[in-house]
Amino acid sequence: MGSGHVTGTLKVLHYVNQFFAGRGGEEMANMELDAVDGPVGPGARLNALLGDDAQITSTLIAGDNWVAENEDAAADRLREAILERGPDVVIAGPAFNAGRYGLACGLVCKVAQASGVPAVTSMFEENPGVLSYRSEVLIAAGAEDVKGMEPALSKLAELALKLGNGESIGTADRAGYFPRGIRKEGKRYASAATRAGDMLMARLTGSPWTTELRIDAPEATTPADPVADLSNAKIAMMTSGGLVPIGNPEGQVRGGSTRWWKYSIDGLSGLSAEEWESIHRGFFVGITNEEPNYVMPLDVMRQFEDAGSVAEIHPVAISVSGVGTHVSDSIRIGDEMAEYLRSEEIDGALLVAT
Amino acid sequence: MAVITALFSLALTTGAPRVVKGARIEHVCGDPTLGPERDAAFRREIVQTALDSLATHVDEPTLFEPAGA
Repeated sequence: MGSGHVTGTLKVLHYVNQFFAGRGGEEMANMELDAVDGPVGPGARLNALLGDDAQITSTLIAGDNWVAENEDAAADRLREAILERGPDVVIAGPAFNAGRYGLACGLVCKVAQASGVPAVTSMFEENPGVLSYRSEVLIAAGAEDVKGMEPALSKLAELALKLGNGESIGTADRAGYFPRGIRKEGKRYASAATRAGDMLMARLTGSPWTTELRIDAPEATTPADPVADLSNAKIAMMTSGGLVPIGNPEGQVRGGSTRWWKYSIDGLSGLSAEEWESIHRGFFVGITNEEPNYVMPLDVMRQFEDAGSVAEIHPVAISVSGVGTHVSDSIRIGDEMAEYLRSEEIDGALLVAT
Repeated sequence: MAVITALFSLALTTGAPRVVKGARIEHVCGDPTLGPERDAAFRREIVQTALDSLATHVDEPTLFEPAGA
């Protein structure tokens, strides 16, 4: 499509979520796909950066929850919408470090590519969208939050113009996107043996050097052994849904956590809406605040405890707002939680993640 | 440990060994649209599935699906 066009401007289709489209925040995260003509939200600036050679002719808008929770149906609807509008190139985002938005942008690009339309998105390196889509979708490396909007849009415009015109985008290093694991033929300055020798010398003498083959070892988690006998087991309850006692007296943060919180649930038959709420900043908490057991099912667990299905529910629950926390902090927090659970001789734990 | 989440494919991708399919992001462990009685049964089903997963041997990220989720 892109390479086939000869004259006139490239038709660009842009994807943004409900928030960047100005439709609303988390309360609008369930909105289904909508399509409008022309640029919307950050699309206005993106359109300017694309210059005279390309124009955003239509914008697709959807809620982050709708896409995340209905991936297959969303993919079908996105495919229809893209084919109907026949763009030369698709741009999604930028999604920064917004997880569900990043996943949606990855899906949009994947669907576009499968329909024969080149596509590009932008997100922060820790966005789960990078983990899920980096090998199959072109993802420009972007900033963590909207303070990096301008450079993210510039990069998207630059890559989209190249894609739309059928030009080479260059290597991941130089063009600033996440490597997709694609190796192309080309000329190097010397043979592999000479280059390896140069790298070795640079390394030994403390000079800068860059590997030609980056290896990202997948994070391996060894599954815990199964609980042998649940009726003898002590079970801990955990949530990343930002659960706190009403009023949040201990000041749990709403996101970007660098620590975690413990709350006594000793003697409670369940979590009442008069005593518990969620302060999580990353999803609409209205339903949780009417029924906190949705984010940590203590009432149901008490029924199992009373019936003898489990021996005991640990009297201290663990809670954190699981949004916007850096991976390095998440790993440390997980280690600390595991250490605590071991010290309390917990046999098993249920973690509810929103 | 079992993780109960509506974003189960992401949990599997990140390598969580025992993943239980939750209802939706805004109400992971139940569904208010079912009405009180059916929701109560659904909520028990989710927790039962999670407890069963703890007692199940897994070698790799594995999805456990409560009926109705």
